[in-house]
Amino acid sequence: MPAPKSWVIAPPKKTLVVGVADMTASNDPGAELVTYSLGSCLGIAIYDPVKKVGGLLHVMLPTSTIDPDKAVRSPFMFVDTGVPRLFRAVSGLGGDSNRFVVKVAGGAKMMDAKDIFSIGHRNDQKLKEILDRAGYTVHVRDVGGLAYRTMRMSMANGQVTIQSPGNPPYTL
Amino acid sequence: MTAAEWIAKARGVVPSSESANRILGLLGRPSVSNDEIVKVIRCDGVLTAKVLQVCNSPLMGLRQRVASLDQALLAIGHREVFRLVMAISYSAAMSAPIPGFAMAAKEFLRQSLATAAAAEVVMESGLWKGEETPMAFTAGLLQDIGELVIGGALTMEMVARMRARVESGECSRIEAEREMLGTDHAEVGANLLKSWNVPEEIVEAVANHHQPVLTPVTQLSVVTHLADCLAHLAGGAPGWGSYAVRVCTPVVEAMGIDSERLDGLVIATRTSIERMERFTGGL
Repeated sequence: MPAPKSWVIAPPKKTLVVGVADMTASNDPGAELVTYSLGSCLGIAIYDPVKKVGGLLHVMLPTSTIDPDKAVRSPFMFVDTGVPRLFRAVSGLGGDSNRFVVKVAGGAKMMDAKDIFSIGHRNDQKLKEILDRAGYTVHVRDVGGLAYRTMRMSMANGQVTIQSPGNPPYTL
Repeated sequence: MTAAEWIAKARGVVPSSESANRILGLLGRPSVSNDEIVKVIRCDGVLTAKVLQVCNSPLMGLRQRVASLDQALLAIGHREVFRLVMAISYSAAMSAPIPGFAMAAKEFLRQSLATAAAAEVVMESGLWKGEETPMAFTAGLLQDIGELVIGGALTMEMVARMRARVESGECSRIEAEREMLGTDHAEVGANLLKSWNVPEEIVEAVANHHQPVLTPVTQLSVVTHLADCLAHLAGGAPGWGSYAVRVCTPVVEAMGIDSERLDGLVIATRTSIERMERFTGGL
């Protein structure tokens, strides 16, 4: 008797971990990109569904002007220096920027009466400014809240899943 | 249940480290030499072996093999050895998963090390006007130790009720703990450390890290409060509702922290955390 489909062991997935202030682009449809510890940081995923190429960026702060030297050594730390590099990297793998699907998660917010510690909000504002200027829109987003998130993107179809502690993962 | 009752329940769950306690006892004295601290480490064969193991791990990136405590002191310095000893002493207890806060194995250890790294950033940033003290690192490392006690004993029902309160946006996580349990992880942690005879400065820094003391004299809890916030912003905040932390406005105002200053502190904290992860990756 043939085994039910659910019994069949799936081939191992290649997981590419994107660290804090880091970016990875891939054209391997068998790979999954994942980034952990998205608190006030933003995870930005872009994907070209025709070419099946995409990338995932984990940025920490809005603008690099605060520390230009750091921006040279670690450009993916900042929204303003990381986002253009993410788009260039995915385009460099054959992605067509006209087809990019953009998904964003993170930007958690502390309880701060003065809003000085609202780095998540400032990151989100900066991202919006950069994407608006370049003529892109965010297709779907899960930004704000009080929990940190894990963000995964399947390179097979660009599906992004989000998980926060104690909750089941869901598709963004 | 009172904090003392939680502690009674916790005995054995969070083991004390005799050598670490002796070192902390020395730090509580007005002056202590590096040699006195090294003498304590030397007397603990297991601790010394663990220090050498971590020093020789590839993550540490040392060119030469470290075969003795003296070589370790020469290679990475007294301060790094002290940090390692503290991290090693509590790493086993801190590596356990905490189901009540939905923290996986080792997440709590990583968070505690990140907070310790952040405490040193605050201490070195010029924000802290008091005397520089090696206690900041330890206070940061231990400030959430009460979560180990509370988080291991929460029932599913308690967690569900606390989460509902926090996710409604009405209260911080520590306020929800207090509402639900009559105590909180800061009070439980401080009581636990007191029972280990940890210096009073560290007990204060743990007890008040969510309500730091600015007057009449600024206390170490100001450092642990800011370190907690910075570690969150620099990528270390596991568990549900972990961002439900109330930032203390009087501290922010007293320290003159604005957005620009904060961003600089977050960068420094991230650098410090990465360095710490390299040093303690072998744990």
